Amino acid sequence: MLNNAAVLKIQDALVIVMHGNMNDHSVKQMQHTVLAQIEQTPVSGLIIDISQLDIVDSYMVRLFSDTAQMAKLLGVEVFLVGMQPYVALSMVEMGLDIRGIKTALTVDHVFEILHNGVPYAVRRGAPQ
Amino acid sequence: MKVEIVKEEDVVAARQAARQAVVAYKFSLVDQTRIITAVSELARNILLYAVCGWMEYHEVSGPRGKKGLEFVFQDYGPGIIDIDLAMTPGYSTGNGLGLGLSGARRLMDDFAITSHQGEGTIVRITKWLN
Repeated sequence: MLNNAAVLKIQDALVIVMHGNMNDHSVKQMQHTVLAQIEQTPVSGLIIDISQLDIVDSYMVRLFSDTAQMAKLLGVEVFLVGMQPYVALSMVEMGLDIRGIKTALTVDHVFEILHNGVPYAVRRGAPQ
Repeated sequence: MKVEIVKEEDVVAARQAARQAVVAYKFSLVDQTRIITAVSELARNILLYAVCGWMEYHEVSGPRGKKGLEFVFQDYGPGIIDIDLAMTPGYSTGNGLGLGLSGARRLMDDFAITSHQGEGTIVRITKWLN
């Protein structure tokens, strides 16, 4: 019933919100959905919100990485947003590597990066 | 508690069963995450490599009154020819990252695998309560 992630357009980015009970097929479907959306709606960023995921396993990492590479070929930067701290810990312990995908704590941070080319935290910490 | 694994929804069901168990046993949040992640990997492996099997879990006791949860994954698939190779991070005969088995081992306290060609594979993983 709730098996498909919704895609929203916010400013010049597509935002897709993953939910916790998606099966592998739905995760794969997400990839097709966002790539089709990118073709229809020119954007500069794709934000994958994973804040509702209490785990991220190797299959999901692979899908996120592949999606990021595909989107990059279309000129779109991909950001994983909202990863829970214990998810990050488990991923590193397992040896899962998401090099190549940008991450941000919140959607706001992504827009800071997209619009200024400078990470939010760096800007915040920079001397005035 | 036993979860049959024959279709993709069953991997989700295995995760949900594990989630309920680790909450009921009051594992720390970080251990909850480790256990559910390992369960997700091993449940999917059944589907990918053996087509069908099941997961069950039960309480286990250790020395000095230690308590834990053991999850058992059994399938009747083709079996693993070279377990050491299958456990090598990055090695996969399927379409994955090759981190399912090695990752599950890293996330859990105890990990045991036995496999016989033509008969199937059993993986047992345990996390102890602190």
